[in-house]
Amino acid sequence: MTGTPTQAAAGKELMRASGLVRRFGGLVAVNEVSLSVATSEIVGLIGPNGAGKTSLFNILSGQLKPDSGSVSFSGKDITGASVTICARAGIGRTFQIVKPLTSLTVHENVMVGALLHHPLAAARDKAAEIVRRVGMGPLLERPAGSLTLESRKRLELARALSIEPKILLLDEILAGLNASEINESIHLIRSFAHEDGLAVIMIEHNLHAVMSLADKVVVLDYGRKIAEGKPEAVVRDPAVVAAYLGSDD
Amino acid sequence: MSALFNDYYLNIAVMTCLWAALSGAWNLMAGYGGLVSLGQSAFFGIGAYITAIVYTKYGLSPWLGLIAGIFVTTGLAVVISWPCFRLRGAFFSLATLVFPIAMEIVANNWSDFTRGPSGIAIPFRPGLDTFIFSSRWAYLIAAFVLMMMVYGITRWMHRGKLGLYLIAVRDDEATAASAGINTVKVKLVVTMISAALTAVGGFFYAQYILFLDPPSVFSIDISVQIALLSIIGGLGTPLGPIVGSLVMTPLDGVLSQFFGGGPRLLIYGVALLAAVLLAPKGIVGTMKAWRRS
Repeated sequence: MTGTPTQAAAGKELMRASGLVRRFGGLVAVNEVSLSVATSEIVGLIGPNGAGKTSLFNILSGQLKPDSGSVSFSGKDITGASVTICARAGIGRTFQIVKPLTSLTVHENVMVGALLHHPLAAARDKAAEIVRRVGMGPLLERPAGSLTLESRKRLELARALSIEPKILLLDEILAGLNASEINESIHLIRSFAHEDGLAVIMIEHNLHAVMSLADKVVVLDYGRKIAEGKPEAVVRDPAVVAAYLGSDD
Repeated sequence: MSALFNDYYLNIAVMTCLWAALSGAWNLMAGYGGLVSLGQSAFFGIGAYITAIVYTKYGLSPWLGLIAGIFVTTGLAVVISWPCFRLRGAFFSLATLVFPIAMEIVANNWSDFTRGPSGIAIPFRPGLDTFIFSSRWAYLIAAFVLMMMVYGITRWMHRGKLGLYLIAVRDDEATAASAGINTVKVKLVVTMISAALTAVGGFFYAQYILFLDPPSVFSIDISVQIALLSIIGGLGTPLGPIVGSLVMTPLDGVLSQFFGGGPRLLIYGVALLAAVLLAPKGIVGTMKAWRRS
């Protein structure tokens, strides 16, 4: 949403996480994870349930403070910064468990974020534009509390976009959608990266979507990064196959 | 006889406007921001006491007391907010309940300033400079202006930037923060606005009733009454507190004239129960729902 359309891929580094560790009691949810993402780049974050993907997102977006390691964004150190500060810096995220503002309309939900950079009237226009872009135009004035799960997921996306982020952290936004909705979403996500120049990190179980979208895939298992690289290479990696299907030994 | 009759009803009209204004100030915090404070009488009592002390002890204009009261209560709002904003829902409400109780103890014991339990009588010297008037009509106009001022602020806020931010914080604080909202600041701003308006109500009360003692301004009953009127009228709507006060304040006045004491409270309680059961969204909220269906 910000800046002019940029060339696909080959952007400059926007976010870098180095050696992130987060423990919950005896469990190491995120263990020495490093990761970088550039503008216009789409990174797929995959791994079995409980691998630490959402915990990693929570660290990158300020919900969780890491026990060690650092996060830099746009050349600034933002390790341990609050959610508010991360959002203002340009980190937009969706929640896996959708969290709409239920007493507001779809339009108002998105306006809340658009007000970060625009006065009221401009925020209203901007919000309507974003709502239409994610395909929710007909639902603009509907109360968010009355939406179906599918629409709530789209609203999450619209809310993440509303703050005009430089990076989008998408937490399983395709889960529960049907095939045609998934295809629409794939086009949408691609346009964010290639037309708007946003960096995207997406947690996704839908491997078809990851394979067709991601420039790079990062695989987590038990909190550790076990593989990173081109999608085609990563899915053939024996360590990844073992993590998903179980190893022989 | 007719003058007495007239005064009686004028007094009910004045109190209806005053209660609507106080409840409207609470509605900003509780109705929009979800900050269900039960400590409003702390702001009310401090506004009243500072006005009375500045005027009677130092012989200065009560208008100066009004300004001092606004400063002190907004300052107190910041102090109160610090520990209480960490608490959610009922825990926040219970924590705020402490402040009027503490203030009542202070007012009872800090006799040099407050004259303790015997209270402060304010000498009757009518004039605009003293904000004391011979005619109740003048008070009615002032109370009406105060009520409309609170209504205007609420309208302005309703669906404006601050209103949207408050509703966002009330609905889901994590979502609000991820939209870049500084949630603590938003809650603090509305609490300060609410405290200042409530202190103005205290100033009005002092110069209208011309007598203060600790229970008459710091009582928990006042905090509860302030909340009830908005709940009955319609939480989170600009008109709600006014409608609530228009229904309940005259009812309370008429009941106390005809019944007094126990039966009055019983009937008042039944009316409250009926309102909450029949119109859980308040009168304004329920009427809106009817119109939509």
